[in-house]
Amino acid sequence: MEKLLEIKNLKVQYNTDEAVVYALNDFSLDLNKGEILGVVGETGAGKTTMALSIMKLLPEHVAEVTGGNITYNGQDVFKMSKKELRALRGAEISMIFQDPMTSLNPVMTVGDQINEVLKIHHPDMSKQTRAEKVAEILTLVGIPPERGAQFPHQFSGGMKQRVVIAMALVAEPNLLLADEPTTALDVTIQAQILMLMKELQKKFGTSMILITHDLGIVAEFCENVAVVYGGEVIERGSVEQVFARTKNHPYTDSLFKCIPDLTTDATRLTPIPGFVLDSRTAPVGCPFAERCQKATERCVQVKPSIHYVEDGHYIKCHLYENEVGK
Amino acid sequence: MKKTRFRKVLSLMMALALTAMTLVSCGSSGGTGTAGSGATSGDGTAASKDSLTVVTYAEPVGYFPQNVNYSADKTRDGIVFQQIYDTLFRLDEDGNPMPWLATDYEVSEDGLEWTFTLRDDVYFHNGDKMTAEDVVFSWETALEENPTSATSMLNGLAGGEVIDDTHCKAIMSHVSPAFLNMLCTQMGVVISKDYYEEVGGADGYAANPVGTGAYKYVSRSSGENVVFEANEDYWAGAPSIKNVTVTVISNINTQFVALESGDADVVINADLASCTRMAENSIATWDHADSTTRTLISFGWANDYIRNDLNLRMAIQSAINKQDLLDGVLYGYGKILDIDVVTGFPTSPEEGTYTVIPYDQDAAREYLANSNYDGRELEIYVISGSTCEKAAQIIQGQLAEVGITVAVVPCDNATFSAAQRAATADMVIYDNTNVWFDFCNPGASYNPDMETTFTYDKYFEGVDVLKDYYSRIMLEQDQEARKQLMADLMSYNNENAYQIPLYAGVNAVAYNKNLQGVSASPVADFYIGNMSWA
Amino acid sequence: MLKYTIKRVLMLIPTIIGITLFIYLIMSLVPGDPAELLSPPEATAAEVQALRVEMGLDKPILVQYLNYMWDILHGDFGVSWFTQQPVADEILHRMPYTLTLGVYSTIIASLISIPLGTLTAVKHNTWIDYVLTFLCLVFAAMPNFWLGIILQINLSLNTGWLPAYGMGTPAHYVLPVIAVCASSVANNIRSTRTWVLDVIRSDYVRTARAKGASEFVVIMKHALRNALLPIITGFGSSFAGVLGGSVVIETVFAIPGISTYLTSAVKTRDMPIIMGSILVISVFVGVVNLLVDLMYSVIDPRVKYE
Repeated sequence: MEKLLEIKNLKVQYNTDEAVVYALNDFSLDLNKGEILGVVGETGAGKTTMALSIMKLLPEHVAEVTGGNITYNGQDVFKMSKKELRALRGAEISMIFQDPMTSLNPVMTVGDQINEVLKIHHPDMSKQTRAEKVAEILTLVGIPPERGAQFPHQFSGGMKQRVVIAMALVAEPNLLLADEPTTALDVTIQAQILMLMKELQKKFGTSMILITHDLGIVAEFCENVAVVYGGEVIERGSVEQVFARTKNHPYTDSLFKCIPDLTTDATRLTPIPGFVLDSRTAPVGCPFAERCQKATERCVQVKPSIHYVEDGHYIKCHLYENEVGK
Repeated sequence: MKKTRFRKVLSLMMALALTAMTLVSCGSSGGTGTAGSGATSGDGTAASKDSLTVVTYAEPVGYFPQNVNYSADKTRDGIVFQQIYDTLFRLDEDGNPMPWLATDYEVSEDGLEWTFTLRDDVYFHNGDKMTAEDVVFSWETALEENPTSATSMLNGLAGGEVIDDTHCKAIMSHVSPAFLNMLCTQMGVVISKDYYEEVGGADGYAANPVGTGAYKYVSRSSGENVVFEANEDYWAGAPSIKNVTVTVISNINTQFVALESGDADVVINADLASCTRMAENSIATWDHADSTTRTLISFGWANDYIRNDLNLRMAIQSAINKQDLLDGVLYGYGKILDIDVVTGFPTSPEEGTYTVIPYDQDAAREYLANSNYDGRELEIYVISGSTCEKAAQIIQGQLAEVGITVAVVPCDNATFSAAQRAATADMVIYDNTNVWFDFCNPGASYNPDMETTFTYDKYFEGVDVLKDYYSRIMLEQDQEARKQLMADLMSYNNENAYQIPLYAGVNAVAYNKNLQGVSASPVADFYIGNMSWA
Repeated sequence: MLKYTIKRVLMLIPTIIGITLFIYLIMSLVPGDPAELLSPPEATAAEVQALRVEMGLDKPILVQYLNYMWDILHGDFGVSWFTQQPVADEILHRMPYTLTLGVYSTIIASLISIPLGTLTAVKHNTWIDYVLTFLCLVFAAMPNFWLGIILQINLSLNTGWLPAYGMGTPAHYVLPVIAVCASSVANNIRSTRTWVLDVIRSDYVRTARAKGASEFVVIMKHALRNALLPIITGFGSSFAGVLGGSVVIETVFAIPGISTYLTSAVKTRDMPIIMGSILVISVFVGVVNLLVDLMYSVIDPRVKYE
C-alpha cells in the first residue's frame, strides 16, 4: 500500500495571551492511498489542529509547530514554498470545515465560489469548460445547476454543505479532509451528506480523513479509525478490529461505554470520570493516566509507546506492552 | 447576475459623482468669485502697481447708507461707502471737519438754519451732475427711510430747502452745535435723486450704488469680495490706484498670511496682537492711532444689590489698575480713561476740571467694608473672544485682591445684547465707538428729541440728572460752557460710580511697505483715493 | 427597489419637518431678540415692537413656523433679516463650495484610508501596524484648524506652492481638503482596520485560503468585499459631518461656504438663513444616506429592500 500522508511526531502549540496550549504532542499518523480513515476524539483533542497542519492553514501568529514533520506524497509540507502550498490546497488536498453556515463567502454566488477553485488551479481552462464543470459538480452533489447563480444565504444548511463538498471536490483532489462535516446538521440531513460523500469517494477514489466525535458515523462510513486523546493517537486499527471491543485502549473502551445501550434498563449513563485533559500542560506520561481506571504509577511517569496487538492494530498503552503483533 | 450588479454599483457612483459635479459647476458659473480669487491666488505674486487688495474681517452690508435697518457699523461698512460716496464735509487728521463737497457754510443766529455752498464740478458715476437738489434729497431720504438713526446721527435735522443749484439750507428742529461733524458720517453721504428714482428705490440703489466718490462700484460676490474701479473724472483728481478688490477674510491668522505673502496689500481693523508680532523683515508694516473707542464697565441696574450699594461700586472702581489693563490687553498701547471722554474732542474737558477716582486698594477695601457686599459671586458679561474678555479676566484678578469675587461670562453678540438691555448682568464690559470726533451725541439714549427706551440705565437713581446734563450739553453753543458741563457730568458719573471708564483703544492698519498714503485713523476712516504705490 | 426608494424619499419629509421645527423652537428659546438686534441702539420700545410686528415675531412660534414652511412650499426661502438678500440665491451660491469640499475630502479620505486600513489589519501587530497606528493617533489628535494654519504657513506662505485661502482654482482646494481629511483619514483607518481584522478571522476567509487562493485574492476579493459594507456606511455619516461641520476650515481658508453662512446667521439670530440652510443641508444628508443604503443593497446580496 502506498503511503499518501505521513505525520511524524508532530508537536503544535498555540501561544495565546493567557497561556500556552499544547494542542498536539508527539502526534503520528499515516494514511494510505485510497484509505478512508476516521479520526475520533473529544473536543479539544487536537483533531482540527491536525487537519489544519496538514495544509499549513494554522492561524499564523498564534500557532507554532515545535517539532515533527508532515510528508505528503513524499514531499515535506513544512519545507514547501508559499507557491507550492497554494498549488497543494484545493487541488491535491481539500478540506471541508465544520460549520457550513459560515464557510461560504456571503457576497459571492455559489457558482462563483466553486468556479474560483478551477480558476486558481487550472488557469488554462476556458470559461466555458469551467462553467460546465461547475454545473457538473453541482448536479453531482444534488443541487440543480441553475442555483449556482444564487447566494449562500438562499440555501439551507444541508444544501450549503453540499456546496462546500462540491467546492472541495471539483478539482478532484487526492486527499479530502472532512472536519466534522455533519455535526452542524440534523440527523436526516447527516445521513444524506454521508451517503453523498461515500458515492463521490467511490467515484473519484479520493483518500479521506473523516474527523468526528461520533462513533456511529465511523462505523458506517470508515475503513479504519484512529482515536485521539491529549494530542496523541492512542489507538489505530480497522473499524472491525477496534469495534470488536476485544482489545482496546482504556479510553476507547470508556468511549464505547458512554454510548447508552437501548436494550438494557439502565437508569444512569456511564460517563468517563474526570475532565478532559488540560492542554495547558504537556503531559509527561500517558495523557489519559489521571482518568484511567487501570492506571499505574508508571503510567503517570512514563509515556507508553506503540504496541501492535494484531496486524494493523496498535494501542499506545502500557497494558499491552507484552503483545506481539505488527 | 454579477455583471448587472457591478453595473448597478457603477451607475450609482456615477450618479453621485455627476450630481456633485453639476452642483460645483453651477456654483462657479454663478459666482463671480474668480475675479477676486484670481488676484488673490496665494502664490506670492506681487500685485500690479495700480491695483489694491484690501482685507476686511466681515462682509460690508451698507451700500445704501440712508437705509440701514440694522445696526450700522462704520468699521465694517466704511470700506465701501467711503470710497463710493462723498460727504459735504470730511474730518481731517486732527478730527476737524474740513470742506469737501461743500465749500462754505453759514449758521443763522438762532442756530436753526445752516446754509451751505456746494462745489460746481461734481458728477455722479453715471454722469449726472450733482446739485443741491441731490443734497436735500439725501437728507430727506435719511429722515424718511431711517428716522431712528437719522435722529441720532443727524441730530436736529428736520428737513432741507434748495436755494439754487449750488446752494441749500438745512432746517433744524433744535440747535445742533456739532452738525458739521455729523455730516461727515455715513448718514451724510450724497446720493443721486434721479438715479434713485430710476432704480425704483433703496433696494435698487443698494444693488448697484452710484455716488460721487473716488471709486466706482463694479461688482460684489457674497462672502468673497467687492470690486471697485477708479473714478477717472473725480473732482478731487483721479486716484492713483485704479482697481480695488476688497476681500473678506474673517480669520485673523489668514488675514496676516495673506498680507505677508503679498496676496493682500492692506488689512484694515487689524488685530493689534498680530501687528505687534510682525517681523522686522516682513514685507508689511503697520500703523496705529488712538481710537475714539472707549472700553468701559456698565452696571446692571436691575439688580438691587448693585443699584443700592454705592460703596460696592466705589470699591470696584478703586480696585481697578488701568495701566495693567493697557499692558495686558493692548500691549501698552492705548490711553487710560478717567472719564468717559476721549481727549482731543472739542468738548473734552481739561484735566483737573473733574473728579478722578484713583487706583487705591486700601480705599477699595474700606469702601468694601462699608458696603453690603455679602460675598456673592458677581458676573461680568463680555462678548466672547473680544479684547473685553481679556480685560475682564485681568479685572477679575484685581477685584479678587480686594476681596470681591467675580466670574467672567463670555457670550455671543445676541446674548450679550439681551443681557445688556435687560440690565440683569451685574457688570458688562464693552466697546463704545464714536465716529463723529465730538461729544455732541454720546448715544441717543440721552437725546431729548426722542422718547427713549433708556433700557440700560432706567433703574439708575440718578438717571434724570444724567438726562438733564446731556440735554444741556446738546444745545449749548458756547464751546467753553459745553466743556465745563461735560466736566461736571463726568464728575457726577465718577462720584456715583455710574460707569467705570477703562481705556481708549487703538485702531490699527497693517499694510505692504511699498504702499504710501496709508495711516491709521482714530475714527477708522480709510480713503483709498489718498493712497499710491511707491 | 424603486418602491423602497420612493418610500425613503417620502420619509424625508417628516424628518425635515422634525428637524426644522426643532431648530425653530430652540432658536426661539435662545436669548437674543431678533427685533432688538436689528434695531439701532437708539430705537424706542415702540419702534422695536413695530419691527417685531412687521417681522411677524409677535405671533406664536408655531404660527411663525407654519408661515415659514408655507412659504418654503411655494419655493420662497425669504430674505435675510440682516442683509435683505434672498436666502435661496445665497445658498445656491455657497452650497457648491461646501459640497465640493465634502465630496473631495470624502473621496480622498476613502482612497487613502481603505488601503492603509487594510494594510494595518493584514500586518497587524507588526511594525507597519504600530507606525501607522501611531501616525493615526497623532493626526486624529490634531485640531483641524491648527493643522489648517500650519499648512497655510508651511505650504503657502513660506514656500508659495499653494494658495493659502479663497476659491477659484482646483489648487485652492488642496490645503482645505488636507486639513479636513487629516483627522477623518486617521479615524477611518482605525475603523477599517477593525472591520477587516474582524472579517479576516472569519471562516469563509479560511475556506478561501484552503482553496489555494493567493493572499492578495483572499484579502481583496474575500475579506475586503465583506468589510466594505460597514466602511461605506461610515462614509455616509462623515460626508454629512463635513456639510455641517466644516465651518472652522471655511473660516481659516476664507471659503464662502454654507457652514460659515449658517454659523454667522446663528450668531445674529437670522432665522430665514438658519432655517433655509438647515433645510438644504438636511435634504442633502438625507439623500446621501439614502444613496449609501441603496449602494449597500447593491453590494450585499443578503440585503433586500421590499
